[in-house]
Amino acid sequence: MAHKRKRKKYSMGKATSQKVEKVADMLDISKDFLAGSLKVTIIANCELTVEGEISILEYTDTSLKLNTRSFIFGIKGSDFEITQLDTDYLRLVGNILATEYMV
Amino acid sequence: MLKYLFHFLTGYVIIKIEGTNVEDFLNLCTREKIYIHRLSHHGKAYASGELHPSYYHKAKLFARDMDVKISVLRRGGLPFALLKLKKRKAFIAGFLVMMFLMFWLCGRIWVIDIEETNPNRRNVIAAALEENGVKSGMPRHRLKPFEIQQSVMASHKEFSWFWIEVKGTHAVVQVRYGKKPPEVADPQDISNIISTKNGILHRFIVRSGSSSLKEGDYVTEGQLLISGVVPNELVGAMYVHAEGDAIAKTDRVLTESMPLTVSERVKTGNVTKKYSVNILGKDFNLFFKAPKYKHYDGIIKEKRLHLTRDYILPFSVKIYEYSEVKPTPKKLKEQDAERDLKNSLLNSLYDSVGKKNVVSSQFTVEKSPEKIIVTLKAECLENIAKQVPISFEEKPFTPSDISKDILLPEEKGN
Repeated sequence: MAHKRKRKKYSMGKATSQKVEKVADMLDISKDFLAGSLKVTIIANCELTVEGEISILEYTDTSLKLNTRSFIFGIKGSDFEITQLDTDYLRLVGNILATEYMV
Repeated sequence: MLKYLFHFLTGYVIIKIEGTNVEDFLNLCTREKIYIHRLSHHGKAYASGELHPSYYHKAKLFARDMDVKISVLRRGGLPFALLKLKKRKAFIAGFLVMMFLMFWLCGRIWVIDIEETNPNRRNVIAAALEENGVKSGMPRHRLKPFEIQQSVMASHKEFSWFWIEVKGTHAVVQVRYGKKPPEVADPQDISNIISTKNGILHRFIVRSGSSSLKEGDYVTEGQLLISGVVPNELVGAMYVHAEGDAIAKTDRVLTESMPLTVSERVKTGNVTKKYSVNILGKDFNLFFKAPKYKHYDGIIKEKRLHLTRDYILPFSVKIYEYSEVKPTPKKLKEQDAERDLKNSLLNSLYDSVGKKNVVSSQFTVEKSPEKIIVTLKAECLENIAKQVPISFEEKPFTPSDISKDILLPEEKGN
């Protein structure tokens, strides 16, 4: 029955995502706009926001590792406080020393 | 900011998260829409975060599944604060009474400021305000500036503008005075113009009426300057309202004296302060006796209680500061006394006739050991014309009578 079908939450597989990224490259537009890639915003060294599908891999007061669709995003520093945590949004304040991408 | 305010209003619990799978627990919570705010790690021991109270039991079930232990560290926010206050009934009653009093006090006018320095005019304005029911302590909503403005402007024609600006518990009364229009003489009022002072006519203009005088003539007080009776060939005399300007050079003599020894009040340095409290417009003195000094100068300082600059409350403290003084005779310098007297005389002359109308001035100084007398003789330009009505036993001829009764029959005859 058509009316009983649940609408699935929009999510792309890895292969589809790569294709969309290629299209974005061809059209010369932001990948974030089409593919929904991870968007990281750092303000000085005290605030960091991550937008996109994320889950926490490791969390201590000096390091934070986030699992994204295509890589692992790591942050190192001290006095970390996650002021807001959602499935697709994270806001971190503290003293940020380094960020790393592990593919 | 709004998020934190909402957080405070709905209340929150600060939870302690202990265990090895803290990350898995956090991921599960976010997937299940249990949001933990202000998450921080305290070394390797435990993590803590803020959680809405309604999600606590659900989070505890997830924690059990993830092999994590959670416990409440502290409760915060408005609902928990109110729960604590529930037992302190007297405190709540006092708070409510205070809130009611503040609401009541802020809903009234306590200070009425009249923007006028002249004491006589201030009294007139105060009386006008009282007539319209404006007084200290009246409810703010009963003060209707537009209605009062109309009422006061109708009864006081000298005001060109009247307004009451209400700022909190403070009403500011603004008044402006208009210039009266010059009185227009009725041409039917038959009158002469006579002189009010002795003088030499400087500028003499006759607009209506007849006169034999000319500029340069000397006139005495009460002398007829312009006559309202104009000779006419047809009726012998025509009666009109005399009009004209008579600016004459007049002499003015002003004299003032000043003693050369005056009593000066020298402060001894002894000061006594006394206090009184004003509550709802009533003074309560906190002292019983007047200051013990024989001679003193007093200063009153008032400190009002106010919430903001405009929300003034009806409570104030008056400080009466009495400084002892000793009257000491002081000899003035003759030069200083003479200069002060000359300035004073010139100022009073300028006030009465205007600076531009003073043609010449001369001072005469008389000195004696006790006092100094200065006399100012000045020649001024003044309008010495004064209207004086002419009284008749019978109704006189007027220009309108001549045209109607005399000229028309002759024209008919022709």
